[in-house]
Amino acid sequence: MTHDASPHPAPPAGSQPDPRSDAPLRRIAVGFGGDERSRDAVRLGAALARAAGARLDIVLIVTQDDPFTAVYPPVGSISGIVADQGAAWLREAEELVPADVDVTALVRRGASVAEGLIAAAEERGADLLVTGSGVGAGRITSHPAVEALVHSSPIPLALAPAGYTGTDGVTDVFAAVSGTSGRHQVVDAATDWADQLDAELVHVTLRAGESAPHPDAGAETRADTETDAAEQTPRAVVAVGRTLAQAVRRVDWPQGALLLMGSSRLAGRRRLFLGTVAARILSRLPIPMIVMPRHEHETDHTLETDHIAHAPGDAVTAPPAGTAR
Amino acid sequence: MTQQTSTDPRSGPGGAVDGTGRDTDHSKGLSRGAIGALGAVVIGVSTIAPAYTLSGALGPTASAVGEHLPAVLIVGFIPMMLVALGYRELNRAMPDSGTTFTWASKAFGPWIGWMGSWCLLAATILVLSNLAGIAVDFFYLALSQLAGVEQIAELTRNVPVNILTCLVFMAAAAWISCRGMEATKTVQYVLVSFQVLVLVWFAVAAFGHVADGTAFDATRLSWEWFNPLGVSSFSAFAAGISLSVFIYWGWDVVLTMNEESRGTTTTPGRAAVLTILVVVGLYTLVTLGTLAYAGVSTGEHGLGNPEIQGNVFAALSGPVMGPFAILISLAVLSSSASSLQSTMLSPARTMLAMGHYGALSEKYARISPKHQTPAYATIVAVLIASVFYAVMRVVSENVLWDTITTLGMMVCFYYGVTALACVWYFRHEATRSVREFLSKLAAPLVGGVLLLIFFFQTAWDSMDPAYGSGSEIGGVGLVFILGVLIFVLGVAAMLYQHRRRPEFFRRRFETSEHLTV
Repeated sequence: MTHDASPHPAPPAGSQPDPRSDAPLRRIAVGFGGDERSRDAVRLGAALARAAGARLDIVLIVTQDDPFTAVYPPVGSISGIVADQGAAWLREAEELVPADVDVTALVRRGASVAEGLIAAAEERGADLLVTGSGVGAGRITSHPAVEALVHSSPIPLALAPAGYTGTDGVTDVFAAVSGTSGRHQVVDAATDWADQLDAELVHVTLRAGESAPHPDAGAETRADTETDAAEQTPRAVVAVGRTLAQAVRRVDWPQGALLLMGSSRLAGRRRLFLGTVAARILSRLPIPMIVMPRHEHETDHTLETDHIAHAPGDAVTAPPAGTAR
Repeated sequence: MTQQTSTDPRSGPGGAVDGTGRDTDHSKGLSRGAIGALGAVVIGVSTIAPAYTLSGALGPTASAVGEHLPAVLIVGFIPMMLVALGYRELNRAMPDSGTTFTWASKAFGPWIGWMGSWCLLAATILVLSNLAGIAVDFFYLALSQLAGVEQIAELTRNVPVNILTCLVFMAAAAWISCRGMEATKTVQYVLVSFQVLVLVWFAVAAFGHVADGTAFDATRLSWEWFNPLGVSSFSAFAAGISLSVFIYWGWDVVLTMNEESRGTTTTPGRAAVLTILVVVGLYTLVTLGTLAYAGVSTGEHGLGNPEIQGNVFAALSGPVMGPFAILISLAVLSSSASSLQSTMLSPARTMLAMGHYGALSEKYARISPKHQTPAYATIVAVLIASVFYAVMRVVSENVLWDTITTLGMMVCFYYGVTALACVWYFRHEATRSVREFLSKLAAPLVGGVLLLIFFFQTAWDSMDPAYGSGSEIGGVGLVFILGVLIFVLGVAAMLYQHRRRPEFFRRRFETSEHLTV
């Protein structure tokens, strides 16, 4: 497989064709707030946009006061000043994006950061929303907006781990699957993603609490890698640990990998919901995680069981073409 | 809405990335939900914080004007209303960063704008310390009522304990403010209904004691109480008015609500009238009840007793409401806590605007990325308020009383300046129609001049060491020293800023230069 692992070299002329109209990633929105975690998100958004040939929108949401918050003595609105400051932050954010990525910076107003980001992503016709998070350090999220988004985003949500650099590009797409059932919609999505990103597809199963086959499983658990020789079948990784967090640590995640995961069954239709299992995985995951929203035509064979880190997801459908243009 | 054209990805490297903001796309986003008239009234009453205001200001006002308390409360509303009409016009004309700072700067230039803003900041910082002080008193009172141990209430008189508790309250409020947490609809409705119910209960219970002869100093209601001309001297009248300006402080929030985001244009006017009816009615009821129950003597529970004047409800709630006195404590505590919150946002945002326009160091313009709040300015405001409170608590015999009196003066000044700014700003368009003449020129002019007269009269009188609570330093009244000190500090700070940042004082001040989001 071919991928470009060097930081930001200038691409060969004309090497960035528009993605095909059925490609899963044609437009990527990054939620940016001016903090360090937001810079992680920009780096991830840029790496994905670059690998996918997608357009990048960096969005900064200026929140408004709740109308029931009285400020006294009246001082008028400060959102203009915040927007000025936000525009300055956005200029810094744009500098993180390689020159060959088509990037637009936007300031939008929202009742909350999460609502504003969803509205902006829908307005721009984005196929993916990228945010930073405090993940990778045992914590799940550090920002209330991320907390809200993982339970409400209508489009796939990518969470950049703390300190993400993006210098390795995108080399592998891991699809989180359960070992018990056969085919999952998240697998279809991951296949399309790997195809577009020119990355290797890997099926990963994470399990907790299963001591068999080793009697002292706590010490003996390991990441078993079974590589299928057949070309069509992707590599499969099964990681078992005493806890899910331990199983996550057992996997040798490549620097340039992504993990795709379905939403919990609690998710409303066409909404995304990070289940407790996914949340536990996320807390230890050193690579970006992408959570897929539930599809309307959800079927029953994609149950999220209590010890299998899989939840139903759906194939990413092509976006309505050219919403923003 | 400017829909910017992004560069085609085929056009090559660097095509789309531009550090000049050309790529930055701004447009109107979602606006926060509309508020009806009832919601606006709730916000107005919440901002006035009647339970806190009455507790802090009833005593000092009664000591100034005696039985004519109801008259002064009603008359005191007039200059407030006149100025508020001007406020509303300015807010319509310059809604972004609509502060005394930008308005006065635009009308009279940066120097007066700076000083007006300084007084606004001083007033808000004073009120912060007073709010926290009242909260401390009622915190220990509520604790003692809950536990049934009277000694706990006495803890507030222990200066170190008092200061420490106050600092904890301030720190908590600053933390909430920096985190950008906001009061929501439900919280506001609950707090306001609770306050109003408890105050009405208090007044009714007071009348009940008068009726069955168990009142402390039953005083027959008299129409003379409503006669403002019966006040003994103009000094007393001016003192009463500048206190009642503080009492109504908060009402104008209803007028300055951004009309656009509230759906209709008629709501603010109607809501303002409704709010004032509710508040004047409530104040009159509680004042009459308190006067009828306690009288204005200097006896144990008399309103003339300097021991209880700084905090009337703390002294009277027990005798009046018996076992339910805890409700008054909770009402005052919650009202001062929510007021502490809404007042904390104001100086922080004023300093943010001043930092942004170069009137203060750029540090004040810093916005915390995570919560989009002016964290630096908030912390500075809280530190000043805390230091001020700590010093005052040690120096003054009655810190709450003296801060309220000083506060009344400061409010008179910045309101007066803002009103005159309105007159000056609209001087050309005010002759277009009778309505515009009244709302843009006549009303703010009369209101502003009145407030400035009250300001100078009060300032003059406050030199007397017996003024206010009777605290003095070197034979001069503490209130006067405070007022002068604040002004001198303001001038010194302004001159310093002039040396450090002369550009601000040279610029022609314009607003509406922000990105429209």
